[in-house]
Amino acid sequence: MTTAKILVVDDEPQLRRVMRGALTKQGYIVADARNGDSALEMLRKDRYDLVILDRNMPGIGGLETCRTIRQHSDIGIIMLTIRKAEQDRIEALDAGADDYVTKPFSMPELLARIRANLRRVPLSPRQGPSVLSFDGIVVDFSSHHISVNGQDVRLPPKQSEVLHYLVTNPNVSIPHARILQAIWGPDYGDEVEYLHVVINQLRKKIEPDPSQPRYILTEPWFGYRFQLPGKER
Amino acid sequence: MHATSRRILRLGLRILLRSIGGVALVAVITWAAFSVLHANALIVGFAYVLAVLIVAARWGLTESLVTSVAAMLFLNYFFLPPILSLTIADPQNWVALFAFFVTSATASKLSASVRHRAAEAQARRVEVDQLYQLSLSLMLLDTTRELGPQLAAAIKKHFGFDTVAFCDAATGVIHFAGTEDPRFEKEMLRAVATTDSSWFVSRKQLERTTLEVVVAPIALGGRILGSLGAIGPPLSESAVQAIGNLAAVTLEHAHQQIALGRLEVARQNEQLRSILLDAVAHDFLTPLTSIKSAVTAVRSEYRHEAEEEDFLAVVEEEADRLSEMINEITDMARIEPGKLHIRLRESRIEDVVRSSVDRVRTILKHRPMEVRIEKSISPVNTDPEMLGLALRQLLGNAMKFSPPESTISIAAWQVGDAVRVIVRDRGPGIPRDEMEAIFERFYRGKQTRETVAGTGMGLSIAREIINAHHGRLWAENADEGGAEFAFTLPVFREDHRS
Repeated sequence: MTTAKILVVDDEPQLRRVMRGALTKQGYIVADARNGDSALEMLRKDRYDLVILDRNMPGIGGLETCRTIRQHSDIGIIMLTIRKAEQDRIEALDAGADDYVTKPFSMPELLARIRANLRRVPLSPRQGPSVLSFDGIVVDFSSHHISVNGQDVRLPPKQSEVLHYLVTNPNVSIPHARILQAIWGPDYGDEVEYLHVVINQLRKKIEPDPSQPRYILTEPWFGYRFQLPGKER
Repeated sequence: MHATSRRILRLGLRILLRSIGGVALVAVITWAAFSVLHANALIVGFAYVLAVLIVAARWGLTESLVTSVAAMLFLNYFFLPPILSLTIADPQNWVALFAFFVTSATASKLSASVRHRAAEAQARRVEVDQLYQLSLSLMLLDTTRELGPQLAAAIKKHFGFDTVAFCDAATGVIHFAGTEDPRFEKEMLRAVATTDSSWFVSRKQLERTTLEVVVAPIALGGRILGSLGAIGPPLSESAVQAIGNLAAVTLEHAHQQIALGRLEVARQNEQLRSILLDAVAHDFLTPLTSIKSAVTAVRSEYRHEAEEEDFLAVVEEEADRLSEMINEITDMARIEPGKLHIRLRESRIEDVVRSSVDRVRTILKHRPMEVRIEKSISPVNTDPEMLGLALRQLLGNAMKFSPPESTISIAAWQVGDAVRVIVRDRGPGIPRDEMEAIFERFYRGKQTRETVAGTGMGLSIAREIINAHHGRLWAENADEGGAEFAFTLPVFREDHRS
């Protein structure tokens, strides 16, 4: 197993100290940054496998840093938030984080999240189509790009993976937990709002009217269904 | 007083001089007619009437009456036969005197009324001008300072009063412009300011002067805001009313502004408190995060003896408890009274109950919990986060007010279109007279405020949240003993979906 490189971004030195110790003990290579700016600088210079990003930092905050990273990188991002409020979690996921952990967190929990997020990185060789086109929409899963009526949009990794999973299982209802486990990892299953956020973002990109979805349909209390046009069941 | 007698003297002297002038005019006419023109009695009579008319119009009744008598005497002596003798008994004489008198009376009355009207119009014009100036300066009153003295000073300045007094209906305090004046009857000012008598203006002429003491109410829409007293030259009734109205509008406006300002200050305080609590909580959570992550890393990554493991478990559990308490405080701080933001949606009551119980588990410690939720219960229309916060307040409350090892029960079932949830403890229950008071913000139970810690915010927040859900939260004592908090929530219907 190759050792993964993790960048810890937090303004609290004591927490960086604990994280460095605990992660190094797990065999990861750890670097840390005390604010968003230096994190972005380090990400430009070096290659990392995962970023653990504090949401509340002086200077450019965690959310802004996350958005900036996402503009040109598919690197896994776990965000550390202090609020349990749903709005805050959705903001973190909306900004492009793959996962979040609420402070104060327990180290085993964080380590599990790190393992899950590192596991999914080599995702490309999967079955299913690498290019899908319907109704003027072309999705290229190998390059994570989507083109709607000629307009080219990049798909962040989680969105790309969820869409890929849905289109390889078209026209059947898939429970929340199964999608979560397939994309986020076997430790997941209850984090329904992760899916809500990703599905909403996908709908904004591919649905003509996101409030009246035609392709990605909600199955209340159950999950989602991808309705491939022209293949009514 | 000296000045007054001198004034009267001057007035008498003026009338005397003018009367002499009138007599002189008649004498000149007589001389011209008798010695130069040799006119007859008829022509001279007309000339005398003219003279009386002029004197009456210009000067007044007294002067013209003196002139009339002089004219009659001259006519009789110089022109009526027998010439150069007075024959009072002659009836012609009386006819002439009567004609002169009527002329003088009519002309003087007419001219006096014209003069009076002109003077009145002039006075009104001045009053209107003064009122306008007053309204301008009332607009510039400083609402950060006391209004009464400013109001009195403005009225004094613009109307040239000697003294102005203002009595505030709300406080009964009398403010004077300048020094306190004993000529005001304070009792009268207070009485006018505080009684609900309709329009009542008292005017009193000060002895031997032309000055007047006016006391008038300041009222707006039938509500008395205060009273106004003024000493100075007499003002018209309408001017007094106008001053009263202006003062009333000014006071009302200023009071509203002050009230608005207070509201704004209260709102800002509330905001500041929330920001402060949030900042404090964040500051507490930062070291707590390091503690928690360090202790969990030590516990999971290293082997320990049972005793060591026990100590580390205590550190972790207590860190959890502390962070849960901080979370509860920040959640509560974020709720502004009357301004709850809830986002209702279809949710299941068992999910909310389960996650609430999970979250307070560290605070509840090892309390036995009994949860009974009806199987067939319908989904409710709630904001799960907010409802969870309300439920946690009730759970925390149940824990604080019951014995340490006793069971806390939660039950939920459906009643028609509503779901009812109860949280029951096995404590002493709630005193009957405090059943409603405990829901007031910052209220602490009379018997328990010394022995049980708390902010007095929990139940009021819980009720605010349930009300925002169009539900109801109340307290009672269970038949089996212990306090029971119950709330209802409307069942979710399709038309709730937005």
